[in-house]
Amino acid sequence: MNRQKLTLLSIVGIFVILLVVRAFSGNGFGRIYVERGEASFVKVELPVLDAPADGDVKSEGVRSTWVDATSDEAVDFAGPESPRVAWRSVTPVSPRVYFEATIADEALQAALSTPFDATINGTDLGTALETWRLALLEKANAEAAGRAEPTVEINWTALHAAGFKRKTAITVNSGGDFEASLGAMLDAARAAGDSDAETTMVVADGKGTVTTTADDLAPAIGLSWSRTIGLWLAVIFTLAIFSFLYKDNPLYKIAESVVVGVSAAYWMVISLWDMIVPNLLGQLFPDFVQGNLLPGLGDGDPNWAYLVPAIFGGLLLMRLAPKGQYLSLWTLAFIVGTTAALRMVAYIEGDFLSQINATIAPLYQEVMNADGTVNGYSSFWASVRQITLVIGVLSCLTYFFFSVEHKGVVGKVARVGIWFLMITFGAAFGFTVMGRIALLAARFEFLFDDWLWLIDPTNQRSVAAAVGCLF
Amino acid sequence: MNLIDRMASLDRRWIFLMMGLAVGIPIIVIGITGKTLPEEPTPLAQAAFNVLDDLDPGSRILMAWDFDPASEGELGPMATSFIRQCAQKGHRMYFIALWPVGAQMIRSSTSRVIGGYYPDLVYGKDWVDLGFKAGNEAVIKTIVTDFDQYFPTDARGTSVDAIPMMEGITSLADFDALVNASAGYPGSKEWVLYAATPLKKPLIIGCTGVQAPQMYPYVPNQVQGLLGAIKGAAEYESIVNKWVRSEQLLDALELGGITEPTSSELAARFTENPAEASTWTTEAAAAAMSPEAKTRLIEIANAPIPGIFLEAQRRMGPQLVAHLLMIGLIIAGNVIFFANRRRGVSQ
Repeated sequence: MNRQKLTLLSIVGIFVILLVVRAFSGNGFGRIYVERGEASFVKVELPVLDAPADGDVKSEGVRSTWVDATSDEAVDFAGPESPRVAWRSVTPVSPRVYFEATIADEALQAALSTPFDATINGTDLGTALETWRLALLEKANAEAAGRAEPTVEINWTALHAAGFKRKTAITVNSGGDFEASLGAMLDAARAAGDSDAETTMVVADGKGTVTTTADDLAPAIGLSWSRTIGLWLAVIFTLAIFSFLYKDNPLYKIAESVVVGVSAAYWMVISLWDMIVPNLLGQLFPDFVQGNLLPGLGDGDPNWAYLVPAIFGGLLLMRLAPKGQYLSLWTLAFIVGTTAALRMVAYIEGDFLSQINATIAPLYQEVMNADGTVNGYSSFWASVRQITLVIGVLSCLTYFFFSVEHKGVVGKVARVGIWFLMITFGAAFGFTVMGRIALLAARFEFLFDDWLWLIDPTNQRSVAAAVGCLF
Repeated sequence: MNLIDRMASLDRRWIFLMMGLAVGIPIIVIGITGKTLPEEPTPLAQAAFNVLDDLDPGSRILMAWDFDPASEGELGPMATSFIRQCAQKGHRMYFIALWPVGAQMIRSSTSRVIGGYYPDLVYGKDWVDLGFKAGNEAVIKTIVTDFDQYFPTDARGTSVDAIPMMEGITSLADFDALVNASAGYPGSKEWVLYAATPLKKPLIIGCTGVQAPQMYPYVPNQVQGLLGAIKGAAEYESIVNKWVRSEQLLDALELGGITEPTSSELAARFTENPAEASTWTTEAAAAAMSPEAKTRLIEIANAPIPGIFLEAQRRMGPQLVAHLLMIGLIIAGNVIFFANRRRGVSQ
């Protein structure tokens, strides 16, 4: 093994050791948390109203559309038979949200096992549970020590459905912890004959809930394995691309090939759904597209003029056919012809004429103050700028004027033109360097922030330092 | 082998390592301390801000995000600040993309800014995502006269007829200003040539450093505001941050019963020097304000700026160190070159 390879292996080894140490110290790193929920949409028939100036609002039929099942439109216009679709929604949340929920959960669990000192004698279940709730909340907040905000709720809807009543008079002996006290209170209520349902205290996402429907209160905030794997893949590919700086290697080649392949596939898919479906198929077969592909697409009649681009598009694919490749040339000829014409007009107007217009301006530029007087300082520098501009344009044009030999006055002016060009190239190079460094900085920020959790500029994990012991 | 010879034959990988450290160490230092370099806005960044600020609230702004993740480091902060200024001002935002991945950039920047800081804005009334359209400059050329032809639906597949803020939009001429964040072709040049020049519409461009020199000739007649590279982004970001803070302070003062012109003067003062807010609330001039209003004012004045609105300014630290390294390397290269020439070493 030569010295160069030994150096590389040492660097990689140190890096891996640092990663392992990082993984098992503090809060770890490189994880993505999400909040899972339910989303549902319902199809409704919304009236189309016409509100003319005379004020008589008239209905002009209805239009069919999908709306959020919780929206006002759904409440007003959806019926039991209305078609519905539902799916699980996943929303990314910052690690801080997960950490806070974890702290609150732990604080609630700890508070539940502390003594409940209040005496519940001769009161009703509602008052007793509210007393218990407030006392537990106070204990849990003390346990959380300001690092999280636990909440405690009594799910009266579920308790009522199970037969519990707020007004039930209960008497409970004091003593025991919060958990035991809750059981005693509910047992007393059951003894009064209100209910025999199982009741429980569920702690999830930093919230404690007394309910009979425990199954509905599973933690919604948790680690997303798929997104975490995605993050690690992004890291691996970033490092693989960086590895080219050492030398060309198989890892770099794999990353490069994946980028090319994924980009091509992404282009194809997004072009299909953003262009071909709404802009071509939606024009030719609007009913089919609305019924099967894009429910939100408006109603309309087929526009058969779109057969022309469809045919031209089909002809372009003939390049892939073993015979008849020449047919694709018709489409290419059309594209080249129209693009050339479009660009010629745009460049003449936007580049040629407008730039000449911007250059032919008075050498003395007068800049006025807000009170209408001339600002001498600004006028001087504006004039210097205009004079420099004119000298630059004329000298650069002279440099590119090859019909006259660059000698004497012409040669000197051309030399000034070279200076202007060099300064321009230098400025362009400077901008390019600045751009590339910014991109490198963004990649490093990704590695240090999203992956390694070394920095936290967007306050994603600020509570993390306080919960290092949890991991 | 003397020092000159060793430097002349230095393995380029040492340069890469130095550059990596020059960029990486400032990122960590700035990330931990939260300190950024001060930014003095140039007239171009100020002009970009003024174009949007001079428009009445509710103006229609077309926002074209023509970039991809490869240039997100430069253009992401610009996109964030453009959205923040428009959202704070109350403009209506119409997002489109001529790059396929631009659609993802729209989702990313809107969810971060609108979702995180302006949740009251209503999709379809205050902002709309019209998504990506293929066709490069043909898209611009077409929507100059017929917007619906290219955009029958938004990115979610909803017909534009069912989107309230699309009412009255028939062509690009119906917009009050165009904002473009561009990483190449199709991008800012095409927006200048095919939209801003023929329509004579105000156009603000945020572009990569590579493109910036190409765009300067269009200022100010065809392009009214230009943000070049991360430096332009940092300047504009600092202007928007100050303005938003000033607006928030003004609201807090007026809610507390302080009227114009005093409220404007105080908001400007507290924006520049937040510590003054605490002192002022103890003075007789603040007697009209309730204790809650005073507390709110002090909280706003001293609240840290959210990290996502400091992205560009954070990236100016690595820029400084990396540029110093580059200047050092250029000087070293020249010294080596002239030393070798003096010794008669052939290149």
